[in-house]
Amino acid sequence: MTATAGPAGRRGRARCGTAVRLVALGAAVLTVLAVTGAPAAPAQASSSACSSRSTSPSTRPADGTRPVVFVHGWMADGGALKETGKALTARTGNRITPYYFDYGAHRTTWASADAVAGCLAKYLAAVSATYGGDGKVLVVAHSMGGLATLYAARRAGAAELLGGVVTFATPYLGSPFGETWAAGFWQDLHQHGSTEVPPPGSDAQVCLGPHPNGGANMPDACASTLPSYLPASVPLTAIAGSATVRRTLGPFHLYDIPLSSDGIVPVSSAHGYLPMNPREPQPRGVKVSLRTDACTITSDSLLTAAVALGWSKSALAALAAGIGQMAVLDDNTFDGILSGNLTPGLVAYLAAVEAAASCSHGRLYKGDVSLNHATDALISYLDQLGGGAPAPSSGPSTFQATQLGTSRYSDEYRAAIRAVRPDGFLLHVDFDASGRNDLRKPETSCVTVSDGSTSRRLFPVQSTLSTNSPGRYTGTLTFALAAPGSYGFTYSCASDYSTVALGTAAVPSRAVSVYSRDYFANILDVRSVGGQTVIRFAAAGRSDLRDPATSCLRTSGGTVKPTVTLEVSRRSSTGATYAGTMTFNARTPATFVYSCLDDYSSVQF
Amino acid sequence: MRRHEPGRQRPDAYRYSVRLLPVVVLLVAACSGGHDSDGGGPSGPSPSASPSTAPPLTQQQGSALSTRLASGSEDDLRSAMGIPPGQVLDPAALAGLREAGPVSFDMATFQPLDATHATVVGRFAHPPAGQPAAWTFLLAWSDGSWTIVATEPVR
Repeated sequence: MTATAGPAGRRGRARCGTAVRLVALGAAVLTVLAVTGAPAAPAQASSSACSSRSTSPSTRPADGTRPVVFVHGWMADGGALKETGKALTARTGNRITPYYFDYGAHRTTWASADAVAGCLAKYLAAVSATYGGDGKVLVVAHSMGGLATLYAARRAGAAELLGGVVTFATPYLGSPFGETWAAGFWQDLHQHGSTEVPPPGSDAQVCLGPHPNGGANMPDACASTLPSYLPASVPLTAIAGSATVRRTLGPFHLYDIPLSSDGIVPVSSAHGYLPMNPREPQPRGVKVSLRTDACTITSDSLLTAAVALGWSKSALAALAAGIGQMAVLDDNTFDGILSGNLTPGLVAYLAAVEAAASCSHGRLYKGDVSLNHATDALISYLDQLGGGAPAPSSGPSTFQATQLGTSRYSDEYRAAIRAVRPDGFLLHVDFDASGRNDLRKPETSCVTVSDGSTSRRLFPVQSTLSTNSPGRYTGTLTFALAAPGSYGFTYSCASDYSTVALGTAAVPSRAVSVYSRDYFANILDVRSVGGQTVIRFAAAGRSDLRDPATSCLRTSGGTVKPTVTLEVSRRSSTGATYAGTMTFNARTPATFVYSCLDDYSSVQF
Repeated sequence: MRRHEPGRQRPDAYRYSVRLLPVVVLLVAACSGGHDSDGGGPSGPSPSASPSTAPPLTQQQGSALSTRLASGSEDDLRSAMGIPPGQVLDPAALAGLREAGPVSFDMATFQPLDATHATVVGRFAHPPAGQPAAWTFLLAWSDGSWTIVATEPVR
């Protein structure tokens, strides 16, 4: 960014406004970054040494699991993907052990440098050595972390250690946000207090600039070469975010502006693995899966997000300018308008998209749809690798109970948890509740299950009371054990009682068909057997949960109903759960909808 | 593009100052010309300069905007919102706006954001069932008139 003093008067004032706006925007961008999980204060660099802040590579993976190395992106650190790691661990049915690689002390250094790719290659080797067996590890990477993985893979022996790679929003063809004044300003603000100096030609924000098809080179002044392809034996799944902004006026929809981007990385770039390096032959037989998480937000929500983040009037004015600038697009020229033309208004617009859209660059790796894609990929890799990572054989789930506690309204009104007993798809909770005569009935209680990105509620599907008198209830409440995540119990399901942690469940979850947080059907597994599609599921809801036999699979040949075999069927006055298999006389590709009504979300197979 | 000597570490304060220097210079350079926002001083803006705050939305301008929104005319809606001719509009929007209108703008709520942007609260006379009547309108000043950029429900 450069500046020259101009004459006083109109130009000077315009520039003053712009400058003030820049500073306001910087604050806004930092606010957004804080929301999206980037660290507030950078770590001190240790010039060339690899960070010791990564998960120790000598940590043994849990029995029966395969290591997955999580690699963060530009301007982040090893903590950025921990939520994702926990969610994927639960969703894969505890078949993986996450390792978080951290190059946060060099997060402004380009991915190919020794401090990033070199350290990652060493880290992969160390994790592989600890794992033993076939030595294959999986990688899940966000943004520039995907490029770091490709650069690491071309270091001696590293590619042979990879069993599969999943990338969220990796800019294989660069980003129009890279190599702009905004990226530089953003990076500068974040570097405050850091002692890192990227090596010459290795300034990440420059090297992240666009290098589309045929460009064949990294941006000028970037001393790196293009990344190389992985060996054909290493499958890759590339997940892109694609946000659409609906322009509205009051309650009325006017038209849609598809960004074809997560706000920072275009879909074409996040899916640009194959065309990324025209100078290098693509490996024959390479397995590349392209997945998209599409989301829609309204222009209202951009404003709401900006106001909620406490943006200044100058930043709001810049956002208004950005919305106006985007509104006059008559086709999808978002990339073009960003490239070399990044106004403060568009920066504000991107920051608001980042905050408002679930598929934005900084939120993509936490979203339900993206996590489903990543889960599918990891399970596929685990199944293909075999041997090193057997599927859990002891029932549909595992449950690790925490130290038991008490859900309390006051010292007088309380429900102590005496025991938590997992039982296949059910979770029995032994309790002892006491209070005055107006103590609420225990059947009103609920369990909340959260996997880091979503929260669902479960209601008792069975109640067995040994003491049942006003002011005193003891016995057992049974809940569905149908979803992965952390389980918490709240007596009477009201916010005036505290929530007590019960433990964490690892339940496979390929996808979820959802009506609301109180009704859902978790798809544990999908198999094709002799022309049929077999879905293993666990559904939970309130007492009016629909029968799973009403579900359907929609294919190009029509709608097909299942034959249902139930392992669990429980219904009470407060809750219900069904678990088992649905067998459809149809092949994928197909769309599954629980109860076959469109009030449940559809799941693509 | 910044260049650094390889491996050389610089003190934090130095690096911070250098890195933010362009911003500081830009601010000082841009803001040093003329302190009198009314343009009365010798170094003040020329008579044609942009004002430092947006001109208020007059009752007449508000009425004109409301008329264009609720007229049922696509051209009127495009001009009120700065929508380019090639952009296809949801056909339900025109009818919906005509039924929901007119929009009465509360001039007392007008708040300039900068020289060319402002917010004002407007109320639909007949909002669709279940929808709020009062919305904050984000406005842009262009070619001597206000256009609507976006809206947000009044909290």
